[in-house]
Amino acid sequence: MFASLQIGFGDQSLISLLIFWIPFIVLILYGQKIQMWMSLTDVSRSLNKLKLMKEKSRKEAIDFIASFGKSQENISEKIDQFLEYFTLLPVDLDPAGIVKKIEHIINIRDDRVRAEIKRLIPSATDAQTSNIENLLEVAMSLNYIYKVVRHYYLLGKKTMSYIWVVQLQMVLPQVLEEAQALMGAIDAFKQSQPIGDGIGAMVVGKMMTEREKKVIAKDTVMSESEYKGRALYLIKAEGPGGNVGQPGNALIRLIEEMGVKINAIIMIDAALKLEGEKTGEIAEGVGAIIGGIGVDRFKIEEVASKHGIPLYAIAIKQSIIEAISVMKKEIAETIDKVIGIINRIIEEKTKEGDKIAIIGVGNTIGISQ
Amino acid sequence: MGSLEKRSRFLVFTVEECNFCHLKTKRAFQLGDYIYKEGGECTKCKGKTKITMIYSEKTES
Repeated sequence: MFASLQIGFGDQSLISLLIFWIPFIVLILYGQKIQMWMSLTDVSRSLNKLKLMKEKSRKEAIDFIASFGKSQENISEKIDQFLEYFTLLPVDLDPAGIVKKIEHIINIRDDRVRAEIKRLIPSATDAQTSNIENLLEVAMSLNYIYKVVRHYYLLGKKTMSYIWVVQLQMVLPQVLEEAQALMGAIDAFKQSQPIGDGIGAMVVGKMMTEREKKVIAKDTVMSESEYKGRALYLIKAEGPGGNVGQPGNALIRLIEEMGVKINAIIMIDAALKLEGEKTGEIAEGVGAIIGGIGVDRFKIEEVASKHGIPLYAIAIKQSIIEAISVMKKEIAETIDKVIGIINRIIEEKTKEGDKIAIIGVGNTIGISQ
Repeated sequence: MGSLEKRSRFLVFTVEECNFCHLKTKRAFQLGDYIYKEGGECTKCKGKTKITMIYSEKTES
């Protein structure tokens, strides 16, 4: 039926020329441009998702603060200022002593953000202030992620650099996953519900119930307990507001200022699972298990190595989304099993008369003691 | 997988446990609940309860 189109072209027909050679030549000449266009479209779609998340988190923060009786117009401007707030970490050309400088900068940032929140809502309790601080941190993080992704997208588009765009496209699934995790945290922070990251604090909080608590460091409390002839010093951030406390300073105070001769340190924290691992799996190890910028980990390692104290770690596995969303049942139900492991470590690794520091690491939002 | 779709499939529950008979009661989360907060009266022994867990769980629907 195509006989009329089969005009001689060497030994090739016009049809084979159309369906094979022309696309072949087009792909050779414009293949990268087509791929570039497809990558840019894909990145642009993800950028739009990030923009929606950024705007939703801003609105949620404004609505939440407005629920304390403030007019939305008054606080919108202030929230926008918060979203652009930045923290400059100290220069690391000469890294000696940098942890102290980082701690100083972080403390200034925390104090300033809290003071601003208190000025905005003088009636807010400490727990509410911590929750608002967490909510603002989520909005700030989403704002920053959006702006960085937009920067590289526009840079790639402007320079028409395929390498820029394809690198961005490759990291975007992970960036979107983190952004979705942050979105999941908004409801938890608004309603003061415990998040997956708080499982370490929840375990130690259970061991602290019905015992006297005293503040041992900023936003950090300690109780004394006893187990099979051993003295236990239980440390966690003060809940139920959203705090992570200062377990490093608490341990230094306990050992060096209060002069308690600690024989073992047991730390419990949430840990990111690898793909394929189950949520709520428990793993044991050694070392200081604590996330964050590194100040507390440094201090705990420093004081433990200085006094030759063994560090035992218990990790409760979860994904990044689960760590900052409302705690899942599988994570909450590990509590008794983890306490059983703590008791076993105490029995196996210490003897009667020893003193043991047990640190529950994590954000204590929705978790008292 | 939108976060809104994902969250809509999960509900948050509060578990109260009696300090005496250890009876556990599960109910929907209410604003103001937090873990280790004193709860209401035990339905079995009338003892004091305490919130021991708050978690999100996938709904059947």
